Amino acid sequence: MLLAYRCALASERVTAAAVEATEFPAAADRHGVVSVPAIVANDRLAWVGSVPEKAFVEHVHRVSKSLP
Amino acid sequence: MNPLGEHERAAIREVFVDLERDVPILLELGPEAAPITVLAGGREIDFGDETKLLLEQLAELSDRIDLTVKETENPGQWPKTTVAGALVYHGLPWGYELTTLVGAIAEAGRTAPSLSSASLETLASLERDVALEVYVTPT
Repeated sequence: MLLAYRCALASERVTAAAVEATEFPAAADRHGVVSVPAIVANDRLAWVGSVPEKAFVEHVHRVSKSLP
Repeated sequence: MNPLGEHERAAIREVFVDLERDVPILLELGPEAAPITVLAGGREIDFGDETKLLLEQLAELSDRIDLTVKETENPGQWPKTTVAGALVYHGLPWGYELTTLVGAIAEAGRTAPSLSSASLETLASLERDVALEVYVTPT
């Protein structure tokens, strides 16, 4: 989660929100979240699991490029 | 409920000593769009009340933290905590996720980015906005 926050602080293009999945199960279900951490990017499940900083930022970059 | 014990207070106070700038925190409370019931210690958890108490206790640990509480009548993903106008947490940051909230405050209190120069370069090249939601649990 902290990597998402760090990205949001470093880039005006990134926003970051944690969502407590047990408290908001409907939102978790809507995105197909079955394990945590699950990262939803622009309302779509993007990847699951903790990754190192380099991989996290690359994921964000890849998601940004793949958006319509 | 007393969210923070003395040991936790001392540890968090040590983290907050390093805050280099003021960190505003906004807590928004209101009716949950799809309320759930969670029991802990034989009683029902009120997520809004627990979050408010937790944030009040955190704010007592540093003069750098300025807590504002707002209430709304509109249903939504409440409680919602916003650190420094940018870092959002939906729900009660309890258990392991207390570390996330404390970490968010620590990050917002830094004057220099904590990401590597390579990561900053990659983020600077983003051409489209990315809204990240990270689903977490307290354990």
